[in-house]
Amino acid sequence: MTSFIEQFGKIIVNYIAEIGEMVLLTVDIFRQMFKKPFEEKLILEQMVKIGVESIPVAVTTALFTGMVLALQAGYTLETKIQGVSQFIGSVVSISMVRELGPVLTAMVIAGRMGSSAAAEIGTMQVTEQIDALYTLAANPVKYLGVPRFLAFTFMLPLLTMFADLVGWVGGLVVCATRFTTSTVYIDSTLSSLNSSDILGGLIKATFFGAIIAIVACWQGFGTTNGAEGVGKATTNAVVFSFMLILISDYFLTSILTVLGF
Amino acid sequence: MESKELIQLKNVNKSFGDRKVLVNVNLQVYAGETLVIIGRSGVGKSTILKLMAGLAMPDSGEVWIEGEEICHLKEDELNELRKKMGVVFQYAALFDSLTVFENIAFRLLRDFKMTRAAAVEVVRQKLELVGLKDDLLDLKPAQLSGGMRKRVGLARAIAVNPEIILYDEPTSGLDPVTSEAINDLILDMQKKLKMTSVVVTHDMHSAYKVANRIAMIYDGKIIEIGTPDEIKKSRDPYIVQFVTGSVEGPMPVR
Repeated sequence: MTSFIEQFGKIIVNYIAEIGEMVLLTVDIFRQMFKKPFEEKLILEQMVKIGVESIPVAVTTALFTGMVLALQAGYTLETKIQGVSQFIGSVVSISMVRELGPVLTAMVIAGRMGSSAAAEIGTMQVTEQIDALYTLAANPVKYLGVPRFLAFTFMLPLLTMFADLVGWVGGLVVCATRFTTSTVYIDSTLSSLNSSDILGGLIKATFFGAIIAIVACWQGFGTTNGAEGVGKATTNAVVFSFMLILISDYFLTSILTVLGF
Repeated sequence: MESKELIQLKNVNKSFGDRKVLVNVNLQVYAGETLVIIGRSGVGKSTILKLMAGLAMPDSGEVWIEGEEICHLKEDELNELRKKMGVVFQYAALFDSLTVFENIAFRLLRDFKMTRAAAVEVVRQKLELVGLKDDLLDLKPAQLSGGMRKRVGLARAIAVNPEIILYDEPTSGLDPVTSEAINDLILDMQKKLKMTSVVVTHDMHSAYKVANRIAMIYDGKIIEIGTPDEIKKSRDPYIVQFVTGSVEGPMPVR
């Protein structure tokens, strides 16, 4: 029994220590962000890598999510409740924009780019490239952390906007071919979707972007033990990001709802 | 050769967890000399180098570089000091994502705000110094051999004409011919550029060749320091065992 309590205590202490490390890193990133020189070139490079090059995956995910949403909504509304298939547009657009657009895009980006950022920084850590940065008078958090943080936080809402739109179009196609007409779908969307729904989703996406960046950098900079360590950091970056995205999603949504989003 | 002290460690202690790596280490490096630190793997040689480069802080004691105690410096002040210092890492630690040119010109472009054309000129000159041709400017580090990478790492370290250069195992993992070329380079740097060097190695051939003084470190302490001749003639059983590479002696073979 004591050993169980001991173990449990250790886990809790570990968690708190890890959160502390992430908070410290975040503070450091913000401090370095406003120090000259600004790394425009690196920031732009990361934005292209994280944002532009992720469009295909984000869009594909969103398209099929929108389609399956329309299918499920149509099936439910037609067979279970019967005769209310004119609401498919509302269901698809609101779930997409408020929830699935931001969350699924964040997960895809965490899997694709969060992992690669952790692996890249982790490899640099174990091959002394991070030490080399210090000796060349370049702060690694500024040189590697800040560009990734800015790129993730700016590009995630943009990608989410794409995803929202594409998902909605996917729903439109399914709805028009299987259930009602496209006019009904569009009318239903327009009558229920507010700009605050869209904005709320994008605010969440911004937070998710920050989470992915901080977790990836934290894991990357903390890498030890060579190739094995890099593998561990990469996996951890994805697992932690997923958990934190889902946990923070609930709380962010609660707060945003109170604020009227 | 003996003149003012450029680098000084005073009563330095350093532990990693429960393991004491350095115990009350005192060490002076004089301007213009090449000091070689020898010792078995894992005895704290690289830690001394990291302390000198400001990459690690001692648990207690002081590290002085050019009359400044670096443990109390702010990051900007430390970076100012680092402009006078070059570090050559064991596996070169070149940035994978950058080309050879961008690696060598890293500080020239960032800190010294040099134009690309001016930087190319400097980089060409440094490549020539380390015996490489300028046709590899646009290659990535992954396309270079181990010896070439070390040379590029050296070129990067000397790009801003530092006064001090720190070498971490400069010849390890290289074939004998390339090792010899690297040794010549270290001697060259000292002669041509009047640099003060600290070399960490366990390659005795290299140590005898490049050193003005050799410091032997064992169990976290400097057990002897002297000229290569003094080390060769030393009767200290630890040193005899180390330089002859014998399994018989006071050092346990783990």
